[in-house]
Amino acid sequence: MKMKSKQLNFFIVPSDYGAINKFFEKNEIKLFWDKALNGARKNDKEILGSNDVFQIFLSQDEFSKHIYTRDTDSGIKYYYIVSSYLVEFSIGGFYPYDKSALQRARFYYIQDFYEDGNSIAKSEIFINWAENVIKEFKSTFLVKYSKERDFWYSKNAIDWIERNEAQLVDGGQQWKSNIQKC
Amino acid sequence: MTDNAHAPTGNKGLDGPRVKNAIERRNTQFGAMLGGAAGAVGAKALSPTKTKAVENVTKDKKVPNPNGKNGGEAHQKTIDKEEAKMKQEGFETQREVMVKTPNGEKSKRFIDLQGKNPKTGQVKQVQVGKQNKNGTPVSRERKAMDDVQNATGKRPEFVPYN
Repeated sequence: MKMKSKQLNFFIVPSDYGAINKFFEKNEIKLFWDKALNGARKNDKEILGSNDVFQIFLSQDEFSKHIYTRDTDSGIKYYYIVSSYLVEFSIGGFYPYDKSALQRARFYYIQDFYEDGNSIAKSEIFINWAENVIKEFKSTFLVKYSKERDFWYSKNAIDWIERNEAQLVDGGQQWKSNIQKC
Repeated sequence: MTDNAHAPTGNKGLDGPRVKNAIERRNTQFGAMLGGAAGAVGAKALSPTKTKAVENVTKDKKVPNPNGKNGGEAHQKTIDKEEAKMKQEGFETQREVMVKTPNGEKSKRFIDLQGKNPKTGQVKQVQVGKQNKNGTPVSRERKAMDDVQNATGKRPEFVPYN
């Protein structure tokens, strides 16, 4: 038996980031990211849109006792999503290596996991909170796209796909522009 | 690798949060199904001052799982190790990455672990599963990797947990 988890896969673009930052603030969502554990800046209210952050984690004050980090052999710290009361938010968008590909974003969280031979279920309160964050996000920012039914899209993402005559590639992990830029 | 409890940092919210209200509504409903007292616990669960009963609600629930040690837990620990290696190499990691495999044996697959470097585009994919006595992946894992390779052009690396 594998651990239980949930995810929502979707596409957003940088012009959505301002409203999403406000959504986090309005809903008192705490933001975490690995680089902040290793000396980078913290408490950035405009974290989406920062050039060097592509994945963050969402939580709430009351879950702070259930947030865990791990260290690599050389001491690099990172958030451990398995046992933490965190929702992963992989931001997607345009990565520096290829601005002509729109990467898929997702929310992901784990509901239970294994430890010392026991199956550990995270609390109902965390799971309800995570569900509500995702539900509210979806109803606020995302719609279905008539040309592809497996994922969710912001209206701005659909505009970009249409304007760039993009094609879904890499098993649905990115939309690649077909327009050659001069 | 070590586990460390970590105090939160982040933004302070400003006004009436919709998500928080939605949670409170749902907690109340959940509690109401269990009776009045439990309803009160559910409704209080988001307030800053927690009662002992509320603390119990926020704790993890432990269930003995004798089979987990050989299957689920070994699988999870192997992915943990692979994730640490990827983090060491500067990758951002995701577990259970969904891949559309329309021409495959299944219409979608989940890669156990994927690391991506947003600056270079380098991608690493790992599938963790059981191996046969001769060291090859069991049929289920092999078919999953075939489907992923056909859809993405890249075959995940197989890492056995047994």
